[in-house]
Amino acid sequence: MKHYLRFMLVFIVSGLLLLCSASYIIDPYGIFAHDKDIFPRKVAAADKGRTVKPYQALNSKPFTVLVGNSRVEIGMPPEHAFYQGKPVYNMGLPGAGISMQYGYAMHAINYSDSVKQVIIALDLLDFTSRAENIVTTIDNSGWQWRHEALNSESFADKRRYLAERISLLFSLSALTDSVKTIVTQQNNVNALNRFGFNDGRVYHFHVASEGFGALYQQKAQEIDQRLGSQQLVFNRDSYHLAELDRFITQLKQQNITVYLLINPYQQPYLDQLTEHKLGQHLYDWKEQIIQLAKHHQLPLFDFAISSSLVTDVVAPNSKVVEDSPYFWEPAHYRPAFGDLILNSLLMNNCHQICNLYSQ
Amino acid sequence: MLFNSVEFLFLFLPITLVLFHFLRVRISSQSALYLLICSSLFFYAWWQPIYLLLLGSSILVNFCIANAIYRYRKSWLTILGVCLNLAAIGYYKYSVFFVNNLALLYGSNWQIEQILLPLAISFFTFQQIAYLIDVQRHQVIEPSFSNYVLFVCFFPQLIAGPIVHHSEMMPQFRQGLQISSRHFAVGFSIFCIGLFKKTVLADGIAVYANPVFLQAEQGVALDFFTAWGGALAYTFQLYFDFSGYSDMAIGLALLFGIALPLNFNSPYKALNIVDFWRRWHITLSRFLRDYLYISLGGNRFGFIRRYSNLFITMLLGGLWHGAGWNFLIWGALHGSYLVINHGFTHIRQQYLPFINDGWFAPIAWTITFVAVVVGWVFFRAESLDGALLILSAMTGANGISLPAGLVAQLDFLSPLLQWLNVKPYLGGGMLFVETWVWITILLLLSVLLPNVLQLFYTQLPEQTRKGVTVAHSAIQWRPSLTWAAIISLLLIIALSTLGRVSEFLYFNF
Repeated sequence: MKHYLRFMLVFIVSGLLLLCSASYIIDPYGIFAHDKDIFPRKVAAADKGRTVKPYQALNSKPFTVLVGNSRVEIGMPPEHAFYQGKPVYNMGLPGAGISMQYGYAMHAINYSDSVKQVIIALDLLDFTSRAENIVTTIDNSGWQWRHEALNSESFADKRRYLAERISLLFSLSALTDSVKTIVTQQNNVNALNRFGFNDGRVYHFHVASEGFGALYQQKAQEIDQRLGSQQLVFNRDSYHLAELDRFITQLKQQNITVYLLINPYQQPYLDQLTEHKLGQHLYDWKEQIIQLAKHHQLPLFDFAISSSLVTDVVAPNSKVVEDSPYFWEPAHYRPAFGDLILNSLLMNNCHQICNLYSQ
Repeated sequence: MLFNSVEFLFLFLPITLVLFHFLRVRISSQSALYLLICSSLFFYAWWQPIYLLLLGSSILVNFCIANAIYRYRKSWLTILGVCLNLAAIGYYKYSVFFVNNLALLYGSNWQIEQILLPLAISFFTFQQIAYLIDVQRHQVIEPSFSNYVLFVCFFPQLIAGPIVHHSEMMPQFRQGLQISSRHFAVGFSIFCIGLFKKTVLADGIAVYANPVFLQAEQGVALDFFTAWGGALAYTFQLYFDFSGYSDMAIGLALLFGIALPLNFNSPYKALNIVDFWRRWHITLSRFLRDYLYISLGGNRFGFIRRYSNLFITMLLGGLWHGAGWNFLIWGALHGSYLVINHGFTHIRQQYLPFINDGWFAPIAWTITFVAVVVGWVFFRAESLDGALLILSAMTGANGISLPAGLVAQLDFLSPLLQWLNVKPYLGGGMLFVETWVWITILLLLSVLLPNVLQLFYTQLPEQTRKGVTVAHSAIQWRPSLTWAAIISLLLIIALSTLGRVSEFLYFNF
């Protein structure tokens, strides 16, 4: 029996070491910033952006930070002249409200002094509240501990932070995600790279198997469900505008160049906003954003207009991804559109795909 | 403190073990027992220190009453003791339920504040009621207060059982604790298996059960596969959670040289409901049989009384699990199952001799398993409406749907899908596949693999094996290199889940 217990001790210690080493080398979440990454597509990180992005950003020393939601994460290209050949970090957070978007971005910016330019991509729905409940304050305790790390005053938060950091190296999820990372490197599933860009490859799979029609239908259902179950409104008394104002002020105080843009939507999405009585709110919101941009002496690029790229909708039965080069579905543009956005920002020229409001 | 928490695994347990063995070897067995008492009380106080007073006073009062019963041999003392215990559990566990229902009945607005349920109250109360009754029935008494305290609050079994009987524990405390490397190797291995069952299997499948029950509570109309997926996922979550906890308790106790009774014997292998209750939560079934069913008259007054006693026992067994109508319905359902099962066995013996065990076994297993799953729906759902919604969906009342992606892949089955009127829905393909892969794996594990008793049969102390019969398994644990590797692997995987600590389901009861 004593031999058995000794064997166990050896197995447990060596097993733990092996597991941690494997997670470190495979780096399933892209947080260890290896110079030569054997598995660059971080498949398991794609749905864990809120957890892994703060840690990814710490090691990426970005010159440019992109801020927004899933549209930015999936729609912006990882390479472009706008980035000046320097590292860029995509802090697009799917489904996150603006408080989280800006909080995460500030955390990345404050950690290193490398950030010199920030693109803030805006969305109407991120600035709305329920008609019967205009939110004036926001509780960030659900994620703030992640940024406070060991500086938090709460023991529970410190414990939570440590547990998360350890679990990203040693946990059942890290183990299965490491295996997933190796096995699905070539598969048509979404993956982040270590700079936070999502390659959106799952769209390739869906388009090839079910066609664009299914994607459009699903998105339309989602939007109808979200907007139909509650009346959303834009109200200037909610916390949103003040939050954006504060974020821009903080960036300017750190001498960071700020670019403001309104994300593009395809025509069916714009139509749905109108159907759900959000057309006027979109107009009012844009007015307020224009005022805010003026106040901060920033140009505003509005891509949420009916340009030719937006009105041209792919045939539903198409199963060829090239048939819709600029949009995956009405709510999410593709990196080709992201390229055009960055061109506009770089040239300070809209080329008929946006409205430019200069100071 | 949870067995699957960092505090327990890396601080409490190692410190207690080291101190315990130091005291036992260098000073005395008695001092080691005192340490176990202190650490058990600390373990309990970790959750809510104030309720240590409740546990302490419950132990003290019951010890005094037991001595009084032994000395004066008055049955009213036993009744007093049982009533005091029932009053305590009644106040903490059932008062809100009864007041709310009375208020509903009389249309009044009586209200009492929700009381925080003291951890393990159902377990330590029942253990002590059994002790009081046995002092009266059999004139047995434990003179040592320290042994009595340890019998009630020994930390491996304090929170969620097994419900131990004084006749199993007291002799072990009195004999002094004999511990060998065999105890340690077997105990640690069983603990690792239990930890794996809880943290990897039960918590792994929980994510597929919880959202379905939540949706049902919100009134969402579920489809056939979603409802069955949720119900089956919970069926396996509960089993691996609770049996994992029981295995951990048995393993932990062995590390201290103490044998606990077995609590699970592969219940999902049962071929009828009677058999199921011989395999599921064995120590509770034993308690209900010895102290409730037999007290009600058992099978002594004809079959009608026997069946009513059985039904009442199960009804109260349901109420023991929680103060709610769903638990009562669950208990009533199992009471009815047992009555039907006994009735059928009688009829089969008399009139249906052609039913052969060989071909009937798969049918019997399926009926039993489905009946148990239906029961778990009531057990898990938070409201009656939620449970009925899931059950109605399980009958196919809301139609059958499959993820569109999967329907596209199952093109070769399209005539069958059309015949079944299967409707495709967008999204959710991955969730669907994961749910059913988990269910299939856990079903196979629970039905095909040997349980802890079978694996360690020759290594376990007599007290653990007592009263439980198991089929011999070809797979037997041995202190070999291979088993060391297997158990280490289970432990490493289990440890790797510690980032997501979750409570044990039976802590609620």
